[in-house]
Amino acid sequence: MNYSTLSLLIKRQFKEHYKTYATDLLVLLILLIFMFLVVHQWKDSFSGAVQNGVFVIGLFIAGGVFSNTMFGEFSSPQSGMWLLSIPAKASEKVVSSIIISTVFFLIIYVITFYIADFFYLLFAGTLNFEAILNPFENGFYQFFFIYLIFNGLMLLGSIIFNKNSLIKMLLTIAVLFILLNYLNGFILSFLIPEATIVSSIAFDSFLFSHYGENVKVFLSDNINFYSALFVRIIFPIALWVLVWLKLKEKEI
Amino acid sequence: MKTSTVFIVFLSITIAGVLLATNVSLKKEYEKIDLDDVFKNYVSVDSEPYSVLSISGSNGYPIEIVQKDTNAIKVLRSRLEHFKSVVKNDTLFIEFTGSNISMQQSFLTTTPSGIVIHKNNLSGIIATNTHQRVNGFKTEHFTLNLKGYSHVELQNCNAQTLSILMENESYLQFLEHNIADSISLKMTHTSVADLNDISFKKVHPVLGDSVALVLSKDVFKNLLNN
Amino acid sequence: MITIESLDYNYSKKINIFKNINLQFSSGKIYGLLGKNGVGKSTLIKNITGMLFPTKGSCEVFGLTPGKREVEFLQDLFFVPEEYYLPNLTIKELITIYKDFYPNFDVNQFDAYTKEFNISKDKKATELSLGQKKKILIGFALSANTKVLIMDEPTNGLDIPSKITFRNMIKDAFNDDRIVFITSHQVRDLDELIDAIIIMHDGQILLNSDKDAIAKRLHFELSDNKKDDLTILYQEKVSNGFASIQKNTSDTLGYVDIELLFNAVLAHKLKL
Repeated sequence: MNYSTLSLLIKRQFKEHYKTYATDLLVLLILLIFMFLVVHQWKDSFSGAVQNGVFVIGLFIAGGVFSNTMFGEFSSPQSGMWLLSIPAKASEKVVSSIIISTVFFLIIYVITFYIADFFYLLFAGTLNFEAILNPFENGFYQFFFIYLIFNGLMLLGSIIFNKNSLIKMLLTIAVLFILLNYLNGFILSFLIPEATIVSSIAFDSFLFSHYGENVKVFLSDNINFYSALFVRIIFPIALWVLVWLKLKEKEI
Repeated sequence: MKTSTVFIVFLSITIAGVLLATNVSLKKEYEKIDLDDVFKNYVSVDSEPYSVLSISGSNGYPIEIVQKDTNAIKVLRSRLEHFKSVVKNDTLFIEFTGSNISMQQSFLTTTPSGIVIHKNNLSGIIATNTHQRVNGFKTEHFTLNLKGYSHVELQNCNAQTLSILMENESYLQFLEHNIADSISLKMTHTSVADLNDISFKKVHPVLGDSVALVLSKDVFKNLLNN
Repeated sequence: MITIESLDYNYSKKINIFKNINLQFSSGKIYGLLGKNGVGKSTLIKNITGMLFPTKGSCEVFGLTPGKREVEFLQDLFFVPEEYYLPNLTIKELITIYKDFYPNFDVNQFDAYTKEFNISKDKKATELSLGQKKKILIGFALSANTKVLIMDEPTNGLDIPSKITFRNMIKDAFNDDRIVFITSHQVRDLDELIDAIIIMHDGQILLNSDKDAIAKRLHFELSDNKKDDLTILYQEKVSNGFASIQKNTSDTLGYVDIELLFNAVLAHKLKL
């Protein structure tokens, strides 16, 4: 990995798209403020967690769209060939895209969110230091790890699909998610046929009903550590490795 | 076969394998559960001795405080990550974080208790922004200090002297049958106290301008006689 | 040196573009790859540039496999596709960002081209006409000073003066370390420019020879009347008479009429 090439690639990405990014940023700010106002009307449905709800929705909408543009050059053969011809390793191209769509994006997103949050709290008349969302509180930070998986999938989509990659990848993610849940439910009901399983979260827990009372079963701390390690670290890295392989194998 | 295809196959097998392994582990945890145990959804937490409870955090899950011979703290397993406790100078400080909900929602009985505290004796509760259901306490002196958006419901409690200090938008409600010989009631800001279900001999109210008292006819008469 | 051995390329199991192609290109030459539209020229070029991977066989560019798209390979090969792309930057920005990717990039050389084209460096790619964009891209390609320069139909979209400028640019920037590879279906555009001719048809190489070798063996002639001579290998009517090819019996090297040669090869009248 050549760091000067990496910085050149990052510079290239920003120079070529800074106008689009500036417009997108403005759209994001307006979208977040709009979401705050809409969600404020139904704040009780969010168990009071208006900020958390808006943060997550905004993160995935903006992050999904942005990550999908990282290899947007593949939407046309001409720009795709230009990208593939840039003298840099596929790994450097992938890493620069990951840095932009995770590190840079998250920094900008969090700043934009807090600007919107400030206006919302001002509007709601609840502006004080404690009212400001702390994303590292109450395990909320887990969404950042889920975002990494989402980022990997969206980058993959922008390489695999040439046209309408955003829609195609979102559909693919929905299908994969449904399949994973079905598979998880199937394995659980096969392993524990006597339990009336109400719901389940793959790699985490399940809820079963016992004489009308819902009982939640969690992984033991030890297993949960390894499961979290797989889901939060190994899986996103595996997806990024797949992005790298797909870029290396990309033909136009 | 392309390397990426081999990798996808390998990754899919790994995902299925991890899924199977975690579900086998979940089965083991399931088998450990005593289905007849009323606290099967709870995890016991150890604590040093204390006589005052100071709870802060959110009102998303009610906190049940019951007088019992056995001392125990049980936390809803799904909320364990949100629970922190420490004992300092005879006071158990509990931080039970989460989202805040409206008062109407917080009184829903379908929400399971986030924490269940069994204690043989308790001299007081300091609540900041949390929702407590205090049940069956029979004691000589009992102090209640409510701050923020705290809600406290008292049920079948009996105290000789009951000192209540309410601030901000706190809410106190007596339910079923509560008895106190003497009540010291200090309320400030927009706090609300519902005194419908408490019998008392004496009351010493110190009330701020915007507080609200909810009284039955009998309690009102009793209050006037004081 | 570019070496192509037993190269097969299939778009799918049923669609075979070419089979068993064997070619060698050496430094110091300008190669012209001629063929009608859709015969597989672009596919062959994409195999050489690493945009497509061979189904069978191998392709090596100075010992490197194009499909691996290694940095050393990409730094030493510039590909100007028929339908090209330029990032939405000003020409100045384009150079600032991309020059560092090419270790031999000569900024002065590029500046000279922009002056010759009379295009302001403050203009953005979107503000340029198609022809201007192509000139900038070709100027960039030449200034990158890569060992291999491949251009697919470079004269498409250029007006007549620009085609002349293009030919001069290629000639001026050419040196003995370089391989220039140009495809075209407009064979006259490559006249005087190329050193070697490759004629491709239906996924097969029908001719692969140096222009000098062709001139040594063949004599091209234009006459007013049709010739019935048995020595005539190929003959066709042109606007100002009849153009014919016959064996060169003298020691002198004459002019090679590429268009006539192309037609003769496609008509299967010539085998060299």
